[in-house]
Amino acid sequence: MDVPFILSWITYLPAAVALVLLALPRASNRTLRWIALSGSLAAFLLSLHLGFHFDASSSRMQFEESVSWIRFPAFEIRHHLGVDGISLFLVMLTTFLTPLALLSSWKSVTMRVRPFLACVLLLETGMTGVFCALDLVLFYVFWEVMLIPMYFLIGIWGGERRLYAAIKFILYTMAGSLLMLVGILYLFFAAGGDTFSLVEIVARLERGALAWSSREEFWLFLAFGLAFAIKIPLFPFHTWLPDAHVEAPTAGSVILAGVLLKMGTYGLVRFCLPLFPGAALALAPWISVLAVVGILYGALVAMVQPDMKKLVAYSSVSHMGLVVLGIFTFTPHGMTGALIQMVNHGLSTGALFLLVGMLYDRRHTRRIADFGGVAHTSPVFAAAFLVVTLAAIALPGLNGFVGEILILAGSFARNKVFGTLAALGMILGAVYMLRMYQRIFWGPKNPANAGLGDIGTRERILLLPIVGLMLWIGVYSAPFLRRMDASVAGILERVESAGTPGGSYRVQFIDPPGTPGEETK
Amino acid sequence: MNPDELFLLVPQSILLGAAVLLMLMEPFSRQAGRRRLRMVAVAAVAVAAYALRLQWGLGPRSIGGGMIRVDGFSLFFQWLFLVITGLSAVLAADFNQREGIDRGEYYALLLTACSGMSLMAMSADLILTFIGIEILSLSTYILAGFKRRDIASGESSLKYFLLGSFATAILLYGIALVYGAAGSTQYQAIRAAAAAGEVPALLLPGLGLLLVGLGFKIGLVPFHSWIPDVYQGAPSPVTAFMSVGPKAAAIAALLRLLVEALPGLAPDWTRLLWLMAVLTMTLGNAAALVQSNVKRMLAYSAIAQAGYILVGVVANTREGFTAILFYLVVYTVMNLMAFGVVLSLSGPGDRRVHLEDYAGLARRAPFVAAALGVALLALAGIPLTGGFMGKFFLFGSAVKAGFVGLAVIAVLNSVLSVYYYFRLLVYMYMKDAPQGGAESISRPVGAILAIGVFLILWLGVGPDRFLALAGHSILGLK
Amino acid sequence: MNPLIPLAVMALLVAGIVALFILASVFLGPGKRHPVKDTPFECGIPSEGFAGGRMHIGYYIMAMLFVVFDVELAFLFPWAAALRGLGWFGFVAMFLFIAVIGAGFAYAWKMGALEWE
Repeated sequence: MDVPFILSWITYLPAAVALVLLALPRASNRTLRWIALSGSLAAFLLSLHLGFHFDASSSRMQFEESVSWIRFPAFEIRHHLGVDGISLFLVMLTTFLTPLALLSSWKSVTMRVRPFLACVLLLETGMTGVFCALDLVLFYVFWEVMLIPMYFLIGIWGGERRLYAAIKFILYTMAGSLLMLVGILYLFFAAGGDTFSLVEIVARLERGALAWSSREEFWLFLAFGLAFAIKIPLFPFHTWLPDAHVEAPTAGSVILAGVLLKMGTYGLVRFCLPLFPGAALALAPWISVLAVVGILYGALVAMVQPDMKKLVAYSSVSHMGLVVLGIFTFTPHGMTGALIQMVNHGLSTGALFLLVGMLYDRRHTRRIADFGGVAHTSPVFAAAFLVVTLAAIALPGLNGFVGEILILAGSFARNKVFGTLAALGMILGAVYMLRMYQRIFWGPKNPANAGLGDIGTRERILLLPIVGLMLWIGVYSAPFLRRMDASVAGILERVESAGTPGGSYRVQFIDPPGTPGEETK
Repeated sequence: MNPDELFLLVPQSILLGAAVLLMLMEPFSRQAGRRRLRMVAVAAVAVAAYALRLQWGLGPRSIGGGMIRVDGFSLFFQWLFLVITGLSAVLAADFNQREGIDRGEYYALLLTACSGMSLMAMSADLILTFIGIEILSLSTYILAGFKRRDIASGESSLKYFLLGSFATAILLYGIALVYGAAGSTQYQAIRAAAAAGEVPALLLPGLGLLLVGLGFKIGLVPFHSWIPDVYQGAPSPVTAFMSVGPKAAAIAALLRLLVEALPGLAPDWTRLLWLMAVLTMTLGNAAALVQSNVKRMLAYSAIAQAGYILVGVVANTREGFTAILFYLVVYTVMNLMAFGVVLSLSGPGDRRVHLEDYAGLARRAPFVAAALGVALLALAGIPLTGGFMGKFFLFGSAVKAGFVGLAVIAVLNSVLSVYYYFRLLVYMYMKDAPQGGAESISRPVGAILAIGVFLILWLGVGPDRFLALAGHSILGLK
Repeated sequence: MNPLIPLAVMALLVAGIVALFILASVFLGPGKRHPVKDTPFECGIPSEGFAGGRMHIGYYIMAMLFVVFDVELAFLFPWAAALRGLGWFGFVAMFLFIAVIGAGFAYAWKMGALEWE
């Protein structure tokens, strides 16, 4: 079955629903919530179609659609969407997490419900668009537009220091992305001034119709890379993240951690590697160092956080560092691991924020020290929290393990020191996550938690799909990895083509390429 | 002068005729007939616009012995000025009634200012440019001080007048030097003089002085110091008008002068303007960061925006000029919207213009807040608004012309500007109102805001048609 | 030779001559101070009142109106002399000009600019 314009449907359906919400003047909050939820669920169902009909054997863009958007005599900007093995699961992750985010705010957001729902839905449109767009200008438009609803989410429904966090968030991300705009413009004119199509420009580079001087390539890589590094966030560009995470409402944190950060790593893989492979190879050691520093720094800082959300935020810095490390190993293992780890991190961190949000809804505090012995009053909640914690620290059989083992395998093959340090970071991760778990759920009972109660039906429904997916990826990851292999191989070939003979950094194929999923079966 | 040439001057004649009529109506009409004054002004603008429409497609013409050029470029700007003038008259209506300055002279001066601006865009002769600037300046000097009983308004007018006179004198000196060098004040003759072998020595200092004079009108750093005080003190509708009209007119005159008369000195003026663009953007944005008065903040923002526009002049390519014309349209819409909100909310005495006065506006007046929000997003250059497309084309033209450094400085400045534009959003959407009185705006202002929101989104999503129009209009520049 | 050099030389000369004259009067002048010599106008009549005093607003308005209509008159003389060459175009143009000035006159009159009190 072929659905025409399916990517447009997935992308714009939430925005359309948002407009409907704004246009309904008298609907009750309950009605609005249901409309929003069903809209985002519909987008999710549509995205399932992508997963089922995706051709795993091809590294090409699929479900492609391209119509002229802005036309000039000399060139045009096209509305060009498509997914491949790299973006497929990120699109699905977005559509999967948004309904959950909406559901999580069912009770906690009671003020200005209508704009809240509209913001979340517009955010979904922006994020899906980022993952689908293949025209540089279109990509940039989604990339920037998405900031506005996030800004409002943090600024209006956020915590105590929400204004500071919102402004910091927007300034940091804008600074990076506007430099990327100059990069896009330069790229456009260098490529002949007639197309913004990523596919076309990469094809020209491959044909040799377009070539960079090494200086050009270096600066262009930085212009794009900085925008992505801020978004990931790669150490030392991470300082906006803890503020934004802590102050955002639960739904905002879930989306921020679950999807937004992935846009950075996605951008690296989608744009920086195929467009500037030479610079990527040349800078890989430095970026890997930053990634490793981020892994260890994030983990160490997370260990001393008294605030749950801050702890999870710093753990994100650590985990996203691992993803970057995986990408820049330039091995099939590392790259595939990084891609699946992006999904894993989205699931586990998203879930962690949901769980912390549930605690916060009840107690209105996020300090770890205010809890203790919660497992006695809320056993189901404790169990769910445990599963998610274990997934986050990569227990075999849960999703985190698949990604981390692949990345570590890749980085050991690349550089033993990086691999060892990254593994150390993972051990530290287990320490702070388990310590947090222990201090919240066991230990002396805090009398204030006596009336905490267990989680209700809505919250169970909320957690069930995430935990299920975690188990699925952990036990049987082949369906996921299989769909990534061809695209990963395509990117690696592209990077390898730029490698200079005898250069220190080259693409490494550890096994025969295309079989990295095997050790998890 | 033959009738054919007179036909091309009909729009200007209508404006000036209506201005005289308004001056006569004011003393001879009673209080009840006030509405009619405004109607006359708007009707004159509409009729002039229609008369302009008839000229479209005639092809470029030179009249008045080569002093006046009627081509796509001047038609585009005349049309833009008519829109600005008409909107300013409508925006001012309620405000002027509230402040007790709803007088015929106000609208008459708007019309003469419009005529002066049109002359600046049409002129192909330094003398006529000068006359256009003077007509415009004298009108705006008076408009800035129109609230005679208000000390701030008087200060604004006097400051503008004194500094403006200096600038005009310098401009006049520049004209004299250029005349001395080229032996003519006509653009084509100046161009020929510069092209024939060696560039005359006096041309360069002449160019410098002309840039000072026009730079003052545009508000380029370091000739910008009048803008904050004058914009802040002038009645808000006048500020709205000044922030778009005279600025666009001076840019039109600058473009004509540089492209038609002094292309031979392009290396010199691109270097000069590069520096001025950087200073203008940076200083405008940096100073806007710390303002707590919204009018003053928008004044510094207007300085910064002029810097962005200058990027297109520095590029000195067809793309750059097209982008300028496009951006001027966007800039007009977003700035008039922003000031439209400011003047509607400023309350008795035009006093409530502080950031705190906007706290919780989203609750008190959701539509107004949303409209101002869209205008601010556009000013900050967020995609899907016309502001983004404008900056995209401007900076793109700079990158294409090889000024990558300038483009980088410009986008870094845009980041700065996000801070203060978004701060107003913070006040409107994220702070609670001190007291929750509902705000009301008049119906015409509301209608303008609604159309403005629509236009800004249209320009942001489908700019092709406007861009094609702008590209067509600059064909006259040569 | 750079063509800008003459310009620079002239600027220097001007500055030099001005400086010379000022310095010369400082050094060569007798420099005797006297109350009468320190008054703003050394015209023999004792000065009266003080400089910061205000004039009636009517003076300014009247002066301005005088300039406007005086200049109009100044235009009329050359126009009358050259009318034969200008033909009907010149005739109509001048009448338009006079009509505009006349409108201004009517405005000023009706607004009370010509009333002294």
